[in-house]
Amino acid sequence: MSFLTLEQVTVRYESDPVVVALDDVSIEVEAGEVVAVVGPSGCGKSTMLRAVAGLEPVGSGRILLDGQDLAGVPTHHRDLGLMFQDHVLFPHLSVADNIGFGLRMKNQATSEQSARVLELLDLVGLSGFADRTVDQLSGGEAQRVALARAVAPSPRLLMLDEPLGSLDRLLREQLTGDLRRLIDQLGVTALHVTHDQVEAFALADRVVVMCDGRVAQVGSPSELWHQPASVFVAEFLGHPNLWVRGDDTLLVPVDAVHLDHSGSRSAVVDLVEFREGRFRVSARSDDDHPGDTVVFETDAACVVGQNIRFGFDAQQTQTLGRTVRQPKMS
Amino acid sequence: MTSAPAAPRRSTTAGGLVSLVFILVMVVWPLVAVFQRSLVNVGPDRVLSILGRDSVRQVLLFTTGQAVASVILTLLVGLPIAHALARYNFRGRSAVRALAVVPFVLPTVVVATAFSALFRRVGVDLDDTLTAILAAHVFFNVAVVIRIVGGFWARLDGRQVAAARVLGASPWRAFREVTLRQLLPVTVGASLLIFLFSFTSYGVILILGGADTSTIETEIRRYAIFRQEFDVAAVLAMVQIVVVSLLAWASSVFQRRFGAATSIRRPVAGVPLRGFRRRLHLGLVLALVLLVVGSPLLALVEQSLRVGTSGRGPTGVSQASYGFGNYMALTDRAPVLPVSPAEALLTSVGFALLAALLASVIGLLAGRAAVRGGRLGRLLEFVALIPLGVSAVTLGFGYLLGFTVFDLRRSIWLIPVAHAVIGLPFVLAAVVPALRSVDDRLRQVAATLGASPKAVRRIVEWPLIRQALVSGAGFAAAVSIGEFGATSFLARSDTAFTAPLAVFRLLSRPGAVLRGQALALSVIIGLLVAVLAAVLERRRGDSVTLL
Repeated sequence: MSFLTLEQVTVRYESDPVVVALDDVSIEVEAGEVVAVVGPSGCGKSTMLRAVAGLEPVGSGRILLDGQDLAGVPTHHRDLGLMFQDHVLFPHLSVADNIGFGLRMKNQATSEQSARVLELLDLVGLSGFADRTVDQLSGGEAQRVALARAVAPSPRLLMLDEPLGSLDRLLREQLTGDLRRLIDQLGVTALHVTHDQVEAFALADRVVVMCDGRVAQVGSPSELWHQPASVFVAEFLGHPNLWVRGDDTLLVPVDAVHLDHSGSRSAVVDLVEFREGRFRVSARSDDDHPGDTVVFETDAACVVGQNIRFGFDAQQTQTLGRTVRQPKMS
Repeated sequence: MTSAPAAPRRSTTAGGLVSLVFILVMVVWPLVAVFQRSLVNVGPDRVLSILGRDSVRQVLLFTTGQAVASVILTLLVGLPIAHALARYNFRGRSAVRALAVVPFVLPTVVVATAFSALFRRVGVDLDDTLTAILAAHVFFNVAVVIRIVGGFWARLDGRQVAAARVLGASPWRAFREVTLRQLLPVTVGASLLIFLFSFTSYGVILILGGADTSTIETEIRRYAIFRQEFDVAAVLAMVQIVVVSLLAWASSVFQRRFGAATSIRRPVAGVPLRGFRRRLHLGLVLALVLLVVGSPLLALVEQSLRVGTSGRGPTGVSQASYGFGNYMALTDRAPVLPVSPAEALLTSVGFALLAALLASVIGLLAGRAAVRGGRLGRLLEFVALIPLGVSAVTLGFGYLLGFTVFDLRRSIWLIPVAHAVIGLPFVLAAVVPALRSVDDRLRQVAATLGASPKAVRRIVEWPLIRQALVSGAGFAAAVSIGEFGATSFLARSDTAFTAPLAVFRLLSRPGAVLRGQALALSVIIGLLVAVLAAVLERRRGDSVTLL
């Protein structure tokens, strides 16, 4: 049996019972695994986290953690760590007292507490910050303190809610690496919620894609990328070349498209971006299948408005099911 | 089926219900009693005939008229001060602003005593005149103009005027079309508030107005206490409740609608004080502040220190000698008082502590439930505003009508409870924003880290709202120490005799010794309240309680 199991969990909001926030969701997380839950805002990913934390009442279904049914277990007895987007540190406590909060709740001996706090400060690279007040921290530092606070009591499960969402891009990329290394070092099981698939892919062993309160697909980052189960997943992960053919949709990977003077198709360039050493060209087809968006990468400079001919490797394409999404049941 | 959030919810609900019951019994029930008395017992026909009496009509007219006059005079005095304080940058600006706001927190009996002292010092016989009443009302309410209009004025974006000037507006036109246009709503809001305060003025009218001047408030007292005509008093109280709640509602709508809507920025640096004309302008305004606000206070202190037999007539200034005799005499038993003034002061302080404690507990319980929302929360948010729509006198009278069972109305405990009701809005005004500002996710993080709902409140919530609660409680205590209106209805035994009652009683009887005691006692009450308010204001930064 898995370490964390969600069995057909359904959550309705108290304020608006018609809206199904989580619709019959089943997920399994193995011990020591890092699972990311991604999806656009409103897809139910944060609700899932809150349900596991006991902050949102579960309508039906079961949540099991390490074999224990969590129904009726109040949040403060669940033994979890939770890290929010904009750190949410206790403003009236010092850095050390923030990190030691969970240890204090467990009534750990003071000496053990301070030893653990120092250990964690060291781990997140903030030795010497113990006595600072929270408002003296930069965004990245605050986020590290929030992580240290979440993991200090050695929770059974670490939950991250858009942990890096409020940071600027450079800092986010740097912290993503740090975060993954820390999680590995601690050997903690983690459930990570984000709307950013890049962050999810960088951090997670497995990724759950959610849509409208349901699970759209579960798999490793590479499985998801190479075999998206639906147009929604493909779109969400950022595949640009999705060509509608009748009821089906053809997915053509960016690197399967190439400029070719004798290519079978033609298009007009409408955007050229220089990205990481190459040109990323976006064009719109004007042949038998007008209106297809074609994105590809090339070393040759293209000009907006230019007519191009291109070909694509048919073997790399896949056909995705109907474009019409299944209507949601409630 | 997780039940985790249920525990804190249950206790919040229970607390909310407790506070709801308190407000229903101590605020709503007395009001119901007033309405029941006048609409059911008296009946609509007699209500109309009472309201049609010449004497009653005159009282209604006078009450309204003096309130309108107070508004106009206060604006005439207050706007130039607000303008200069908002405009010029000079050393001591915040001190002047603080001084100008002092009167607002002072108890009515202290202010009335101060004016009576001023008239005597200057040697004019204005006691028992309308002029005296209006002067006291201006003194009180200048603070409202400076706080509300001046505060707004200081934060108006100066670049708007610059933009208007660049677009071709003359200075006067820019002022009229940009500044004045934006000041108008807050000025109307402030005027409504001033009207409300003057309309319900009680202590000032009783002390400075003399026997022939009466407003609705003093008539309620006369009919209820001296003539025992509860019917007439109830009809007057009903009128008062309707007018006051309408005004309170209108002014809160105005404040909310327009207070924040206009473009406001952080306080603008202000114009440096250079050149003769600007210095002269500021000098004149400061002289006005000193005249309106400073002189009664100075006169009060000066007169309280005057000893000997010279204080009898307006012309007896020459033989003055100064000392602490009047203060020493506070422990003497005065023949007109059931207890010594010092003992009355102790009673007041005790009541203030009780009232502050009760108001904080109820305020915290109600605030928590209100912040959580839901049906109970919304209901509480509404009923907690009711005390704002009730004058202290109507509340006191309502207690007389409503608590006849077991003769509760004679109970000494009713006084601190009434004070707590009057102080409750101050506590809520401080606590609710603080509770709102506590990020719910802080509680959630704490819970995931193993903090029980109780621990969350103690360790996370409490430290974040403690200061606001202390501040609200402090203001409730300050209000209680000076409370006169409700107390004058409820104090029926010697143990319930408070300091403001003592001041009133001492002043209303002739005699230099009694007068000296009244002055000294007023100074002490005033100092207590002003120091308390100043300390709390400092701690809270720039926030304004209920203003």
